[in-house]
Amino acid sequence: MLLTRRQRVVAFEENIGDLPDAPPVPSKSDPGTAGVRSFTSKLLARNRLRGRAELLLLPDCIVSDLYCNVHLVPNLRESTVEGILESLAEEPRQVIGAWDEDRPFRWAVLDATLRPIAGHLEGKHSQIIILGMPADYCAECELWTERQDAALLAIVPVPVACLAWFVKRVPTQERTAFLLLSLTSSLALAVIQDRKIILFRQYEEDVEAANQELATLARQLSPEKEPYVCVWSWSSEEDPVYSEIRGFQLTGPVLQQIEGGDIVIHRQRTPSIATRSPIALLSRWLAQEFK
Amino acid sequence: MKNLFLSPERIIRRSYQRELVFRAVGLVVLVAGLLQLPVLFFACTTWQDYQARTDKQAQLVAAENELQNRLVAFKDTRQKLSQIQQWEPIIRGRLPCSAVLAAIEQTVPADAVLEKVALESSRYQALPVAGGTYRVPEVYTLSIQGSLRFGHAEELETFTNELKKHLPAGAQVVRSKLLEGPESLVPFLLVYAITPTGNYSPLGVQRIADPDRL
Repeated sequence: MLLTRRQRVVAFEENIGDLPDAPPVPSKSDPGTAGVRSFTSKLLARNRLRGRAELLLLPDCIVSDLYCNVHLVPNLRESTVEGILESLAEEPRQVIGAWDEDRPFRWAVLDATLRPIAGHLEGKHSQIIILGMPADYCAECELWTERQDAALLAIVPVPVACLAWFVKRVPTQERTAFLLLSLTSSLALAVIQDRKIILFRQYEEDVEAANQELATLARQLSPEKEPYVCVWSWSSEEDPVYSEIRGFQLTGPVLQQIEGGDIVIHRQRTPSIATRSPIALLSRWLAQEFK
Repeated sequence: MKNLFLSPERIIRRSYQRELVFRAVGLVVLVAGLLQLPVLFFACTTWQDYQARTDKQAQLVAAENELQNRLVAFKDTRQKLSQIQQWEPIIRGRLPCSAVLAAIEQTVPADAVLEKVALESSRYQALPVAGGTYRVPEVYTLSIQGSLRFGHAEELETFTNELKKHLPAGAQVVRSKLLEGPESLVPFLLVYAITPTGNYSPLGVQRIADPDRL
């Protein structure tokens, strides 16, 4: 949980999942134990803040709770974003061939740089990204936000937020970049070419499987050069992924360089705290993007 | 990625709660909507009036049709009544001769002897009726010739006036004249012009009942 006020980080707390009335977690239908005061009001009071909070939820989903895939526009039956969304809402199999989910999903269509698009696709976009999340979870988030008397700005899954951050902030020149995301319960691999996402895959298996897939993709997509692999982990510098994947680690000093410094949290009566947690930096960047 | 995975209802509600422009537009829409209320009320009442009038019109048309259907059954009677009405001026133009004679009998002086009583019709009007044309007289001429005993010639005037009172209204004395005759009797000639009006009560003819006003 990252709390900002006027572009300034006020607080950063980890492991908030066990707190009463904590934000909903995908695939965990736990209504939580709401006391007299809500999670957000306690948080604001603890940090001596007033007013109505604006919330940006970054859920870390398991593979089955997030659909994120790059689709080539010529392969799609519908030629407009609205048509795609309508077909997805009606029957996802009309757009996504292999779809075995019974739960209803909420859908979004973005361009290859993860910007929202609308209208006709032909002639404007060669490929699009379709995102989907379980509708129940989204509704749960909305209800939770209502209970908090706050405004929900968006529900951005961590891999999507991380991809957007990478595309916008990390210079890749003209190389084909392979970004491996180490999340709490899964791994995700994205391929970025000319600041456009051309491939996205999620893995429930171990790092080895992802590493093999990465090697195969590197041979296919970047045969002449050494593959430019970046690794991002939400947790810390000790993530075993860093040692198992040979790549450019987006951590510690690298993140500090990209983001122009650590996050410094100034506190009254206590010394200031500095953090370079990847998830904190990602959250701060996203909060700034939404301002 | 703003509003990603949010429902449209939630986005609209949040926008209304937080964005000034959205609230201003919402306020304008609400005010405009409120201003439409009197118009809507007026339109509603007008529509209800129109519906009521239409219903009433339909009911009246149905009633008219029903009456027309009933009237078809009376068509024959109406035709007969129309034919009877054609007879009205004919009957009105008739003069009850027996009543005229009775009036003469009642008013003739005791010293008078009547020699001739004539009733002639004239100035005919042709009235068409079913089956032909009737010639209805417009004027009747009553001529009385007689004699008064000598010395009672002045009774002619009394007789003339008294008989006029008994004749139908509109009867005019055309001539009332003493003639030359033997010394013991004074002959006289009395002529009346009677226009038939249909009212013969002075003649003593009583109305049986009020006529139908068809």
